[in-house]
Amino acid sequence: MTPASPSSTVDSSVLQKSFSLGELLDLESFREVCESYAGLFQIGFKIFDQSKELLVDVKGSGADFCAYLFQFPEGKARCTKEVSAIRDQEIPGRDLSYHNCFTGLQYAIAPIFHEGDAIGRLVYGPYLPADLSPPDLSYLGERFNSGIASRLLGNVRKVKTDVVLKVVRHLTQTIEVMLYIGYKHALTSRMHVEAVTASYTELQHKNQELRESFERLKELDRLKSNFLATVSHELRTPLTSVIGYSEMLLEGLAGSLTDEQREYIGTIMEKGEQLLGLISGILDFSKIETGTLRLNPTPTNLVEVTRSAVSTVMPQARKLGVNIDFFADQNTPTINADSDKIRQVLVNLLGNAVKFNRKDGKVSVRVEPISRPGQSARVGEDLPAALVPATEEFVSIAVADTGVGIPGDKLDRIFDSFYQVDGSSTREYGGTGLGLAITRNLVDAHGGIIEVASEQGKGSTFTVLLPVEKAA
Amino acid sequence: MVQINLEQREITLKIVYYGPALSGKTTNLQVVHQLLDPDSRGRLMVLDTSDDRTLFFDLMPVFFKTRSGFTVKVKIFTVPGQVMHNSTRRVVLQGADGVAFVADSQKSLSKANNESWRDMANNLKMNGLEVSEIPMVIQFNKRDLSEVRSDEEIAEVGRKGKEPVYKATAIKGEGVMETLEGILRLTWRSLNNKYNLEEKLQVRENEFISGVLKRSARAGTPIIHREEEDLR
Repeated sequence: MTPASPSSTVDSSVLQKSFSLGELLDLESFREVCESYAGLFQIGFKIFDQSKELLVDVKGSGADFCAYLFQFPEGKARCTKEVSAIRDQEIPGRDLSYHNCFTGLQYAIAPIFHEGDAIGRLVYGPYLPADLSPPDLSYLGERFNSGIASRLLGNVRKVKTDVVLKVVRHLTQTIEVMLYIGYKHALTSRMHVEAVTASYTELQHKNQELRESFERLKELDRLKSNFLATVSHELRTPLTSVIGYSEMLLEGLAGSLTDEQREYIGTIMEKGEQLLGLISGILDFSKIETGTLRLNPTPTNLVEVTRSAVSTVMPQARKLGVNIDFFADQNTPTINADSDKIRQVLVNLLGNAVKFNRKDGKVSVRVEPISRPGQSARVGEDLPAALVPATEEFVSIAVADTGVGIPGDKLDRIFDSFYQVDGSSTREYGGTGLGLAITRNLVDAHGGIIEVASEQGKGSTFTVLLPVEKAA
Repeated sequence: MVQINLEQREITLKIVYYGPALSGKTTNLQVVHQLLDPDSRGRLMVLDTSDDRTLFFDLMPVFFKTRSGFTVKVKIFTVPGQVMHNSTRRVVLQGADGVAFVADSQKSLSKANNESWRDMANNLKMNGLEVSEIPMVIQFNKRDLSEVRSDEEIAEVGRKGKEPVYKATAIKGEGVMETLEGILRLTWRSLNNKYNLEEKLQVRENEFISGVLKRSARAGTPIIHREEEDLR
C-alpha cells in the first residue's frame, strides 16, 4: 500500500471484511418474517440493500389500488418514477423520512444500520395517512373510474403518523438485531475456519520437521549399526590371534611353562574369550539391526538344544553355587528352527538366570508343548479373528530363577537395546545390555514370542514360545 | 492494517487488546462499551464460555463522522488468553494497527505476563511485524488486589521501557479510558506518519480522539458484575 493510492485495501483478516445486507440475512426465512409482519398491519413494504437492489417486496392493503392505477400509462409512468425516487432519495441521519405519492398515499423511509453504516433501507407503505384529502386523478384518462378508485382506496389501511413511526422503528430494530446475529455468526464461523486453517498449517509444518528429523535419526541409526558391525568384525580378527596364540602357548607348542606362566596365560585366554563373546553379541545385534541376520532353519529337537545350553552354563552356575533343575516333556515335537540361534537365546537367558541369582539360588528350566488361544499369537500380524485358529501349538521353554526380580515398571523396557534395569548392575554383573535385545530379535525372527513375569525379591521367569508349524 | 477508502471517505482502524488469560481484556472492553455514547458505538460482541473465558474474540466497533465528512471506524478486539487458542490469537492480531497489552498486576502472575508478551511478539512476527514497529501500550490491571506489584515498581518499569504504562482497575472502570486514549493517540500518530492522514482526511489528532471517545450522556460509574471465584 502506498500513501498515494486512492483506495487502499490491504489483505487482512476476515475480521475486517464488510458484509452486505443479503449476506447477513437468510433471505428465504427473512422474507417469510416480512410476509407475516405485513399481514399484521396490512401494510406492505420493500427492503433495498446498499447497492439499491430490491431484496424484499411484500404487498399490503394498498396493492389493489396501486395495481388499478398502474393499468393507465400515465399511472404506470408516475408510479415507476415514485419508486425510483423513494429508492434513491437521500436519507439524512438516522431518522425516518416520508414520501408522498401522487396517489395521495404515503411511504415512510428508514435506513437500516449495521455497525454505524446504513447498509440498506426500509420503504414502509403505501399506507393511507390519517389526514389525507384524496387528489384528483382524472388526468389518468377517460377510462379512469373514480368510483372504483375510491372503493379501492377505502381498502387501504389508514394509519396515523406516530403509529407509523413506532411500527417502522420496531421493524428496523428487529432487522438490525437479525443482522447483528447474522454478522456474529458469519464472523465466528469464518474465524473458526481461519483458526483451524492456521493450526493445520502449523501442524503440517511441525510434522514436516518431525519427519525430517526422524529420517535423519534413521540414517544415523543405520550408520551406527554399520559402524558397530565393522568395528566388531575388525576387533574379532586380532582377538582370535590373541586367543589362538595363548592356546598354543598353553598346549606347550613354545616349550613348557611354569605354573605361574600357565595361570597368567589361562587368564589371558579366558578374558579373551569373554571379550570375544561380547564382541559377537554386538555383531549379532548390529546384524539384526541392519537386517542382515540370516536364519538357517533345520528340524530341531528343542530338548537337546536346551540340554546343551544348560551344560554350557553349568560351570558358571557351579562356581556361583546355583542349582539348575531341568525338566523336559518327552512329547515335545521337533520344529523347524535355527538351532544355533535358539541355543544362543537359551544360553543368554540361562546366563542371566545364573548371573542375577542369589547364592544357593535355583534355576528351573522346563521344555514342553503347550496350546494357546490363537489371538495372542503372531504379534504384529493384523488378521481378523475368524482367520486365526482357535488355538495354536507352541513349544514353551521357561527359565525361572530365584534372583532379585525386575520391578514392574521396568518390565516392558528390559528388551530394549543397551538397557539394564539398574545402570550400576552393568558394573556388578558385566554385559553389554544387548543380550535381551538380541534374544528378543532372534525369537521374533522365528515367529515366536518371549514373555517375562517377575516378582521383586522372588525371581523372574522368561518364557520363549516357538510356534509348531504343522507340515503343510 | 488500516483500511483507507478515499472514494467512500472512510477509514477503519484495528486495535487489539492482548494479554494473559483472565487479565481483564474483556472487562476493559465492557467498560468502554458502557461509557461510550451508544450512537457512536455498535453492540459489544462477547464470545465466551460459561466460565468467562473468551472463546474467539470480543469485538466492539466505534464510529463517527469527522467535520470534513470522513467516516472513522475503530474496531476494538480482544484475543482469547488461554494458551491453547494461539492460532485464534494470531488471526485476531492480524492487521492490528495498535495493541494494548493488559497485564495482571499480581506478583504471582508476572510469569504469565511475560509468556503472553513473548507469545504476542512471536505472533506478530508470524504476521510479518516486529513489536517495535507497532504502537503499543501496557496496562497493569487489577490494582485493587493485594499482592500486586507496587506503584514504584510500575513507575520504574514505565521509565525503563519504551511503551507507555497505565495502571487500571478495569472492574471499577479506573484507567480503562486512559489506556484506550493512550493507544489511540499512538496509533493515530503512527498512521499519520505513514499515510499522512491529517492532511488526507482533514482530521487532527484531537478531533479523532474526541470523536472515538465520545462519552455517553447517561453513563455513570461503570459496573461490571463478576463472581469472585471466577477471577482465578
